[in-house]
Amino acid sequence: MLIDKSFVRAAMKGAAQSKSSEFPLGALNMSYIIPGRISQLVLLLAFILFVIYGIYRSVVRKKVPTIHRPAAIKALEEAVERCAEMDKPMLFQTGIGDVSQEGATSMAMLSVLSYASKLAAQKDAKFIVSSPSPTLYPMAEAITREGFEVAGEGENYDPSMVRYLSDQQMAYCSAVMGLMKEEKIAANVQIGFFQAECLITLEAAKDTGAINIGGAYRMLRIPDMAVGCDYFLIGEEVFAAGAFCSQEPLQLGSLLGQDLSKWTALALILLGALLTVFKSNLLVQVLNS
Amino acid sequence: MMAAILKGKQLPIVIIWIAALIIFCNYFFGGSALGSAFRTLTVDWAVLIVNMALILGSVTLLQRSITLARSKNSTKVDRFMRAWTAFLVIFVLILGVTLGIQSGPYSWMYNNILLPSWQTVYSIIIFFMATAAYRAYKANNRYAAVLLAGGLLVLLRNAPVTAVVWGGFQTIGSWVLDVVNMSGTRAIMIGATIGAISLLVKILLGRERILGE
Amino acid sequence: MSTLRNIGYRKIIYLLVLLAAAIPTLYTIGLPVTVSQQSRDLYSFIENLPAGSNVAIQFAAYAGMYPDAQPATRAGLIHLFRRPLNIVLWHTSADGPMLLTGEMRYVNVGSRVYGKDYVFLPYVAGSEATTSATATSLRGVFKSDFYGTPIDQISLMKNIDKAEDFKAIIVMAAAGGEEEWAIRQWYIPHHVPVGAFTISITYPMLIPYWKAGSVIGMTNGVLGGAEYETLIGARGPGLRRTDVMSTVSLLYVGLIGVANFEIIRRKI
Repeated sequence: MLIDKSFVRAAMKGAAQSKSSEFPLGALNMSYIIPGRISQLVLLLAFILFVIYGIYRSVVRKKVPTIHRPAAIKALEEAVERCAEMDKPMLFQTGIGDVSQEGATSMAMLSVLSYASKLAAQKDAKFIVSSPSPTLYPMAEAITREGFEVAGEGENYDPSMVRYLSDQQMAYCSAVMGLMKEEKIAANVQIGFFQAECLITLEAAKDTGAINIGGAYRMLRIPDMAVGCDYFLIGEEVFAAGAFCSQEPLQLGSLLGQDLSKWTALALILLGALLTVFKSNLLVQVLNS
Repeated sequence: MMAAILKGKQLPIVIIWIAALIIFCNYFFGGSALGSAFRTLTVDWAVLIVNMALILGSVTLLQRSITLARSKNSTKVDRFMRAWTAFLVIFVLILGVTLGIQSGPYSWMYNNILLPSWQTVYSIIIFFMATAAYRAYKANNRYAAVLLAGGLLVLLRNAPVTAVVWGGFQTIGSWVLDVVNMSGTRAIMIGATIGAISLLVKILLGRERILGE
Repeated sequence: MSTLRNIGYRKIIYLLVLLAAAIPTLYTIGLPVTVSQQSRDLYSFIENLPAGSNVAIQFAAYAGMYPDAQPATRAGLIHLFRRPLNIVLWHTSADGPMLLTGEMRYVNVGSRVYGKDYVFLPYVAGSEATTSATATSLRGVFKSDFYGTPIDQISLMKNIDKAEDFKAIIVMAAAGGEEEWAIRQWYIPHHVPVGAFTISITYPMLIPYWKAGSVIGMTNGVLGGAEYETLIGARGPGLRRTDVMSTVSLLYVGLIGVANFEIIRRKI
């Protein structure tokens, strides 16, 4: 054996007796973890490892998982064609949050934006992006330009396609409503972090005759999307749509890791429910340790 | 060489790793050194970044207004509105900075112009919710019928008058919220949190779009 | 009938909603309100806090959505200031200071002394990071109070610095998920109970947390405000607006009924 057992036993004993809460370099001992957070650390590390495994399997071993095309993405493609036929623009809203709020949703939204801008460039459909976020706006601008260039329509890209509107929620809402009426949009895409203005803008888009495609992972916005959108993505479907649109092995592999994590969470829930039926608190005690 | 370092992805990844390790280790292992580093990160740097974003937003808006006002395609009305917007932003900024936000003129403007405007736009939701409910809550199929039933029960629960008619509306509506809604909410929360962990891994690996291509 | 068709269903609905909201506003009936368990739990918790307990208030009011949270916020402030508690309040929204000034006109602070019994700290940007930082050290975040007095000169703040020094954190008028920040940064790491006077949109999202015990109780927008006003025995904007809630909710139910009647008629 590489490490002497007696040394390990002595180290464990010494660490257990130690009163210091400082994390000593080179030692790995549960007593250094703040009580009540061990299971949290274990679960977090497990989920991280699942995601890393999914990415490794996909990128290194080239076993890329396939995901079915979300209905909202199919609707997005049809919406772009509709806009091209009617010669009316598609409006893509990036959402009111910045990257620090709902970063995961923003990243997925940018993938969908990239896909939508490429499609719009290919089909020669008018494309407008509105962003109320000072951090997402430059990213949206860069991605839209890149989408047009990748589609070979770089010269058709106009910087005024991407519009920064106020970062104040209600001011943004008024500005978008005005934009929709002025430009007479045929399709409205709202994927990302939205607040109360979500329902107002969806209804305003409906008023102009546009179809609504939405996506939100925040619980608060899902009812708005369900009622206001013709097609929408709930929760992790937003991430799946982002991965589908980018078709990058890394993104698709991370979805596999997410699914493995979800299965683990589900197994814990079922185990907990079963143990509760038999009046056992074991899982609760383990998770609280 | 400095330019190469600043333009590259390596520096942001290193900063992200340091920040992530400080936050994780402080949460799981504690300790005064980590606690102090954590406070520096969250209080000093995070606040600085958020405030810079606010400034960036305001400057971008002003810049855009000026660019559009000077554009050849803009009409006289456009130019006037852009110039007016820019003037208002600068005027309110000067007022707030010189007199303070508790001063009479600033308070008056806030309470009598800004607040009613915001609240008016928010109040429009009541109209749009009605048209959305009329259009969307239709029992075209089984799933739509279930959505309709759940929505109706919660609506009836939220109307205080129904408690006077029959107490069962409150009980059933509360059950829909406390049991059915709760289980769905938990599932979505778990999925969303796992998505955030996945994003963290991708950022730490340096393979996420926000770090640049 | 053709005139109605020409006008369009939207405008008819808008008119009906306007009438359903305007008439009860002008002619108040004052229907009774059933208090929910969540509001009751929040009220009981605050009512049973020992005298001299430190309570943190995260004032997250945002101007646009404030009307929904206003009744509960006002009732909550009245209740908190009525009890002999030490209150430390700070803002997580730029609109907070202006809105709080308006609400404090209705709050009777009685013999409470500013600086000794309650303190208002300023607004610091930074969202969840700031909430996390306040949990580890208030002094690290705030150097002075809202009026510019250095924090070391405030007697109330002498023994208060971190989350563990508080018996509860109350999040008021949050519209962007600030309750979740408090749960993640105050309750989970430091076990400080979280109470929420929140808007109706956020309310369903907090139910899992309430069931799990992370949130001690919460109010549900205007209705929750009316419930809380009933509990504290102070009639306010919440109870005045319950009639509007009733008429508009019943109108929505009616519209849904009409929409589905057409479908059923077509199927038959």
